[in-house]
Amino acid sequence: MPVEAIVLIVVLTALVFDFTNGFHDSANAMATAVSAGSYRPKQAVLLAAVMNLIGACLSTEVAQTISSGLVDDQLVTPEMVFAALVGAILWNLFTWLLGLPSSSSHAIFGALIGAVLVRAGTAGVHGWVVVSKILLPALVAPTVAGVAAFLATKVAYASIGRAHKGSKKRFRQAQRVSSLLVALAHGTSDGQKTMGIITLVLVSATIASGQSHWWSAQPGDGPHWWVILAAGLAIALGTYSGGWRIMRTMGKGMADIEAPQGFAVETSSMVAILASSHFGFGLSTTHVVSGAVIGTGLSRTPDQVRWRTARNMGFGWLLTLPAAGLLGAGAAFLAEQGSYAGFVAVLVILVLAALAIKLLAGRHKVSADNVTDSAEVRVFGKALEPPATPITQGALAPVLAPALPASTLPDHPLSATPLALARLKPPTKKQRRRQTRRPDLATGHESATGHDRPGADRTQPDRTGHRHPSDRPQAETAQTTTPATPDQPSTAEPADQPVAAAQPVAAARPGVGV
Amino acid sequence: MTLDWMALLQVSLVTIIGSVMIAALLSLANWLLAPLGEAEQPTPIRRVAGYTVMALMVELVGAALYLIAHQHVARLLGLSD
Repeated sequence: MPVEAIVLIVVLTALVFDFTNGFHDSANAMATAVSAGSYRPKQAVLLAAVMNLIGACLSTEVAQTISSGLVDDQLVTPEMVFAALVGAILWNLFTWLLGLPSSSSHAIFGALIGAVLVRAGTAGVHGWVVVSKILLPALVAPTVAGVAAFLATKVAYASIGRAHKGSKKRFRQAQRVSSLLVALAHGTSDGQKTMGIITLVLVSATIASGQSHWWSAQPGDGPHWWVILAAGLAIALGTYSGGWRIMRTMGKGMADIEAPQGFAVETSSMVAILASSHFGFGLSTTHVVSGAVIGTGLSRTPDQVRWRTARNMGFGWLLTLPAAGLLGAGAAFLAEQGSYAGFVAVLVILVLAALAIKLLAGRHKVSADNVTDSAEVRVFGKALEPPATPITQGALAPVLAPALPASTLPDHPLSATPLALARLKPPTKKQRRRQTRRPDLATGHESATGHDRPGADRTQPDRTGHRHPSDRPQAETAQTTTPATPDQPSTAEPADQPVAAAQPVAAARPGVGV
Repeated sequence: MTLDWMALLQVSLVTIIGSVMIAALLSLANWLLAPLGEAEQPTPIRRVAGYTVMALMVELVGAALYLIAHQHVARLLGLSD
């Protein structure tokens, strides 16, 4: 396989890792803003994506730490980098499935160290750089961010106690800005990690081929402009896709966050990440933000912090480096078997594992629509299903449920008509006015029940004592379905049901609804 | 190679002092912009002072971002080595 092809595959894999980094870490910037109500979920991820792209173009200090500091770039081969990327992607996807905000940075560092150790031995890893630029900041950063958030929260709430009720609104507006700055800081920090990895590939491929290409890079070089742009775009796209599972844990799982607390979290995280990026520390934004969330929770009341979630996260943090290292080492071992068979096998394993994780995640889907509904991210257990047909809960349940389980009840003929489709949309103002003017009680026609109003409980009898037409057996509904109003042609007629069959409910069911 | 304790210390101090300072400035602006007693609106002087403090806060953050980014952006644009 020509070296250009290997470089292309590894660069594309690096961009995929950057994408997973984006959706894994989009929660860092926006989870508190979304849970505090400062942004709508979709709005938040769009803005975060733009800020990540800008941030990725602001600095390259961390990229140089990775490309020339962490491992010996003279001993590294493109296959090792590929294996590291595969290990990091798999770990990112696995923790995303669990909704665990682990560090993408530590995943790639761990996987890279594991892959290099397997193929190049201990000489390939600069142990002291690992300690000073990665391990030590990993311990210090969350603590410092937590202390900063604790103090900032105290200061923020000091003014709210005596101030106008509009204070929280002002803090919410400030939080909108501060969360954008965290997204910018995230792009500055994490966007660079992929740039560093791609630069490392280019350096190793240049050394391996012994020739100069347009993409070549020498040891100690910074990233090319196209690498910066591609990495920025990949992380922005990943951020826009939204890591809703992790956003739920970050925004709701650790502590309930109010706008002033969110502002304190984001301010302290933003300052910590930007300052660290300036000094070239490979900091984990996830650790920083998580530390800050715990700090702000402690600042209000320690009871506010959900220590069980925090403990799980801490366990995940400790596990990330060694687990990603093992994955990277395994992938490196496999990738160098045979001529290129191992390389292809690793690629196939990556694709299959990603598909399996995606399928598992679909069983308990978390999306922009339900991200703030709960604090829990489920993976296993019974899959969520839409609510069962409410026939089993209504007045006829004792009669029908034993003979006809809800799942086996045939759909009413109306379910295939335009009326059924129209029910999917909330009624317009005009339709609502018509409904309120409708002389349902006088005529006894069942269609005037208001069941179709948004939020109406279809499982309960309405004020006329009737249940929704689709919740009754065919024979009953066929007798009671009528046009909504005289000027509104009925769309409810099934082809095989004569209109003449329609009867006023009061007549069909004496003593009901009048 | 020695551990860069100074850099680590600087990052820690900048994080704590910077965060508290920004939160304090916003709190001060918030207090100034809040009406006192039975009043519906803050007095004009308090309003001017409140927005001045907010502007100062924005300027501080902007200056910090500039300090971080300017060398790199200048290098990208070929304005310095």
